[in-house]
Amino acid sequence: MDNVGPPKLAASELSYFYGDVQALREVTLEVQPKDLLTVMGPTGSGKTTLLRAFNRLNDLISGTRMTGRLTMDGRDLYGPEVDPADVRRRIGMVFALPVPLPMSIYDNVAYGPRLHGKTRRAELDEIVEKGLRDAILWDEVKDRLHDSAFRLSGGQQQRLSIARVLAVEPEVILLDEPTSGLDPISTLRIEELLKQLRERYTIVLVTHNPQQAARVGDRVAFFYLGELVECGPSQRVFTRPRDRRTEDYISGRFG
Amino acid sequence: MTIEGRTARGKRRVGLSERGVERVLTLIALSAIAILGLITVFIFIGGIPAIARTGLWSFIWGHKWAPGRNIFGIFPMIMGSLWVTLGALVVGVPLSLGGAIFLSEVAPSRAARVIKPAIELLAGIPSVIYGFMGLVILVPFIRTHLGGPGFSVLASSIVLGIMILPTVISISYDALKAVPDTYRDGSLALGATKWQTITMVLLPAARSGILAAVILGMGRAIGETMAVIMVAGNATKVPGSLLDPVRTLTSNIALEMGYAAGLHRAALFGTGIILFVIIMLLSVLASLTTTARDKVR
Amino acid sequence: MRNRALLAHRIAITVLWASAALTLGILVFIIAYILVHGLPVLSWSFVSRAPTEMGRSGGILPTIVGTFSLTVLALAIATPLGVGTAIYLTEYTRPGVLTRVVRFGAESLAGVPSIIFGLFGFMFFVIYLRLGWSILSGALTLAAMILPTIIRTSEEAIRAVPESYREISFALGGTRWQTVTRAVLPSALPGILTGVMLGMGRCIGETAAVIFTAGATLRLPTSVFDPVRTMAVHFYILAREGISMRNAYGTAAILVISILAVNFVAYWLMQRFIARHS
Repeated sequence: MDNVGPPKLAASELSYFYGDVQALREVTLEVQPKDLLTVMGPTGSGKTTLLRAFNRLNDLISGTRMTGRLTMDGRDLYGPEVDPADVRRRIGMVFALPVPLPMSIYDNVAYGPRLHGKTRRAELDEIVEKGLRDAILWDEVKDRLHDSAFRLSGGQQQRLSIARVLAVEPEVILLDEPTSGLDPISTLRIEELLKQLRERYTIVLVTHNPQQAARVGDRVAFFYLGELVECGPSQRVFTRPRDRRTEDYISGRFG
Repeated sequence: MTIEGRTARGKRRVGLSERGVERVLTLIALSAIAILGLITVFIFIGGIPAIARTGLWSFIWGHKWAPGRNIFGIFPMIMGSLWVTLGALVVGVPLSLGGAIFLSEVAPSRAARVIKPAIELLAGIPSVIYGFMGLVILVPFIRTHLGGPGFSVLASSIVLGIMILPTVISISYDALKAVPDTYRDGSLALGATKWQTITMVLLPAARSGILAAVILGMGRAIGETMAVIMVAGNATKVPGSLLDPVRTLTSNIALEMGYAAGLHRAALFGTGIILFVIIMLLSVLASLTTTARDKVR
Repeated sequence: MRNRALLAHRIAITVLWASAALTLGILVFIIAYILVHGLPVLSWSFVSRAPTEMGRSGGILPTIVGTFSLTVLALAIATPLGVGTAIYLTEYTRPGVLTRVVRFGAESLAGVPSIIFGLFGFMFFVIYLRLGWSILSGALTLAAMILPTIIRTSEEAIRAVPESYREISFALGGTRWQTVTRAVLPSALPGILTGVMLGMGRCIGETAAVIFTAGATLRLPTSVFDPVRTMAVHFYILAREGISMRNAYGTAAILVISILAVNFVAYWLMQRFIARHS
């Protein structure tokens, strides 16, 4: 599990503020390439903020402030030469609500590649098929690619969101509570999908459900009220947590 | 290292096209205020010569309008506009409030689906057609049954009152709809009838929105030209009764612009200046009422 | 005591129904009156031939051309400006003076009466810019007049687009302009078109602003620099000068039918917009 070279993602003494409210407190954490890190914690612990700080989606909110350093492959994500749109392509994100764009299934997946200049039909066809296959959705939709994406079920829409992200060939995939709105079967399917994907991508999964954190992922990080309480191999954290708060959270004493 | 959060623009180092897009959009967005500025400048350029020559005081208070002798007093027209607008409010506001309350509190959804588009349609009918209807129906009726030439303050008030219905109804409707349902539920739970709820709870709560609606209706009435020309009679005297013919600021401009020249034309622009100033004041007044309401909430 | 309140309530409700009925009745009456008197006048020769004897007889073809050309040109000018302003106000705005100035401009312009636009158009386009009485002067003036309407409806339409569409687009690496054009505008389109339809309706019916900028000639225009008469102006002249009540009714009928058509399309678009976002 030891890697030579810089971690894929790293945060160093990261503090994040929305106006006067501090959402993250001096967080230091590393994600190795092709890791699957699960970030767990109750609502309001800063998990979403962490993700959005990494892919610079929070740039679009005014009044935010940040101290510390965020890097990818050792290079500063907020450096002066860095294009935020490029960061967001390389660090993809799947949101909690599986809202599709108001277009066909095909156009949803082709949306990203088209943004980045791919226009030839043949090329897009290939990209769309590959994205849908990798998201394990191809067989279910291959005959109705031009139907509206709204016709899909919740679980299918979420896999569509994943296909959409895969189509722009990211290096990292961030998922923010992707199964919170789904039924148990769809949830398990997505968890299986993630385990397959982590062979090619670095994945960070945010969840508020400790059981999901235990099922999925090699490493887990526990956040509480903006602080990184504990981080380590899942096996170890769940059986021998080092912090009292972690233990309370795992045993469901607060949710 | 501290990094300040970006504003909505997002990026610091953007491609040339993104910056360019933003610049173009900013320029486009300024077009409205640029037009407003141009309007102000050119109306004033057109009208100042006449006002300067006559003197602002005599221009506004002068009772005599005789372009042939370079005498320009627009007081009768100011009075004309005033009476006609007040009349329009008397005719239009009660009917509008009735319509707005009906739509907001009483109408079953099927009726609302018919009435709402009907009101929008009413707003789309050209003012010349309203004026025409006044001309062929109201004016003869007034002349036969009430006396006078028919072309009158009364005819103008009725036509304008109908024309401001869409404006006052829709803004009052929004004001009523904005009152939270908890007010209604609370009142009904205390045993009040729906009408009592409307008069004692909802109307007071929606008060400032309704006031704004009335002010905007006033603006609409004062600014109306074509309909008024066709039914007002255009006498350049201060009207003494509802049945007297009248000339408003707007019809003053429209009637004589076609053949006016030199100082006469400037005087018409001067009329425009006065009209413009009044409308801007009403606009500001209306937005102050809404800001006051937002603050109270 | 309760009985008095109930009685007042019942009377009031009846009065409310009556006022709604009266409002509806006025609309129906106006439309019916015009159509009843005007439809019989309509014929193919009415819409395809030029007027003779100053409009006493003949058709109204030049005025139809006039209304059409002014409307199309005015919309072509006002729509990009209006939608662009709306995009600025919703997607590119920053807290500060500039936004307030833009908004103040748009809202104040909405209250300016059409006669003032007519005076302005005359002074600025006809005289100062030396465009003379022309389709161009008229269209520019009308464009200024309908600009606030288009800004207002476009802004509402854009704001109604769910935030999640934007987030998804950004998260895939889209720039702000890409997000606006590919994820936001397509969704807001029906609402924006409704605003355009409303602007169209105003252009068709407008008289005061047009008469001082586009002129009132009955000749068929050959270029945008030629003056032209619109149907609304023609109707006004026919009716007020008493030239031909018959032709006045005919013109009015076409005006009313056009307005009905435009409103109907706008209504249908609005329904589609609502359906798409619920």
